[in-house]
Amino acid sequence: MTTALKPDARDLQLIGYYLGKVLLGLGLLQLVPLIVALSLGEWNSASAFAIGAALAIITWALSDALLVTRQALSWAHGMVIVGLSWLLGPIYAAVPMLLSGRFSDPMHALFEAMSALTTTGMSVIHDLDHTPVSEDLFRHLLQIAGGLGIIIVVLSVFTAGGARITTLYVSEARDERVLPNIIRTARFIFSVAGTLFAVFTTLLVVALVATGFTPGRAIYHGVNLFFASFSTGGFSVMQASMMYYHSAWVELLVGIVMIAGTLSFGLHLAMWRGDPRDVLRHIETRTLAAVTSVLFVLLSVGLVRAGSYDSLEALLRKGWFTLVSAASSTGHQVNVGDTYLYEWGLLAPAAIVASMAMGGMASSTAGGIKAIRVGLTIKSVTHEIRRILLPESALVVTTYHAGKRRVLRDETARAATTVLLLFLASYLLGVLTALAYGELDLTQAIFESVSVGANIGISIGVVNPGMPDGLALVYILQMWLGRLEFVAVFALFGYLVSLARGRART
Amino acid sequence: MSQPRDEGFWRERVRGIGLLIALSLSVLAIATVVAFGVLVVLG
Repeated sequence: MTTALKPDARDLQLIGYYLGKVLLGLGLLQLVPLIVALSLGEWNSASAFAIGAALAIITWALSDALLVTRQALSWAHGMVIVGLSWLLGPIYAAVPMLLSGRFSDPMHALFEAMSALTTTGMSVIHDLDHTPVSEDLFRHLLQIAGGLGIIIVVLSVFTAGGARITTLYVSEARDERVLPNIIRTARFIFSVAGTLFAVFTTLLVVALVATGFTPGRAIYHGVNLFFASFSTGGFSVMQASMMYYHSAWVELLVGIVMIAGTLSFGLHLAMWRGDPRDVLRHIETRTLAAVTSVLFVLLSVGLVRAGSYDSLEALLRKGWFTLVSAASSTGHQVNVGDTYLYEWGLLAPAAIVASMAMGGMASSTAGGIKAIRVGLTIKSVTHEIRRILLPESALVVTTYHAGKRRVLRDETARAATTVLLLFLASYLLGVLTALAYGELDLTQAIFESVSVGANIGISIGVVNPGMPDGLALVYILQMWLGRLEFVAVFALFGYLVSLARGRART
Repeated sequence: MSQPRDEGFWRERVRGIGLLIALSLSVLAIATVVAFGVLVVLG
């Protein structure tokens, strides 16, 4: 058996150097809510952001002064940097949250920060309706930074780019480069986000003013709604989430933004280039459309049979919206958590759980197993069936469309199935932990665990300010694993093992 | 001096948003037909 090489001081220096840059990004991000807090006189929040930003920026300054290196990044370095960034990032982001006094328990502040950055969108804040503007903005900024990919956001700004950060981009659960050059890919992602922000925030502000909001409040809600929806995060500035607005137009606009968030950036590029056929024949589009259609039929049957809703409008505004929220991995709610448990019967919540488990598209802001893995697993199963049914001499070739026509290879199918199984294991871990506390039934435990593990955020009520720390810790682990799709986290653990037990370099 | 935006800059953005809205409304239209069908059959 080959023993892994033990990382030496130069490897750790390189990892520390790049981690410092990521923390610089988080520090600078906190300057935005700091300025807002100062301008609105939210002094408590301002001091929390000043300390949080200073801590992150000082850490960067130390790493930049002491650890600067021109050593090239390897895949192992990339994976470790990404794994650690998504652990350290939430810890540093939790600092101003804890200092703000919104959380009595540090574990809950960490939960909130991890929920924000991984775009899960579940909240344990006591009184969301009275949270200061700057703190709300910070939570939503974390979501959009996490959704777009904090590594790509930070490193494309602060490094020379090129091959050095390609490894980080892929490690951050972004399988596919949209454009051949990583900086051009990052620019395209910013362009899509910026353009949609300008258009849909404007439309949301108009819709909110039409429902009676003052222009100032409409802008505040519109901006946060866009961030929460396009990042597929699903945070809300109000405890009542989408129910607060009582507006079909707001729900429609948010629905479109959620769909935009769940589309891969590759498909956005196809649409920008005017090639809708590429969108329609892509395996992810077809898988998502087919699975979601079947689930919507089941959801509608379940809701009508349970007597939950008896009108077309209610089925669409409560049922369809929730399904889009689940399938896009956003987690905006148009029902209170108890509704799923006591009013929806069993079939309808099961359809939502299945949709949450799958999630959206790869290389988008969405979470979950991802449609491409479900599609490839289905293709792989049909491939095996065809191989059994056809004569032994027959050459069985299965193809799929993903940007171009591709042949399904064994290693591709195996990789998709492995990650799918790991997601199921993560869901199971959350279910068993919740059940171990003895206060929840199976429906609650499954619903919440899948929602957390797939970074969705629709809650049946298990995640709340009184949640036990042990359960919060497992949910934090699930969110971290889900966002990085396991690979970077496992690579990090492997690196730590080789650090302790690896063979020294000669 | 900043360069003027070329025509394609705006065209691709308008096309992208137009197709996104068309796609979303198609999804909503299909959902409406499905929900209506379920209500007629079971309602």
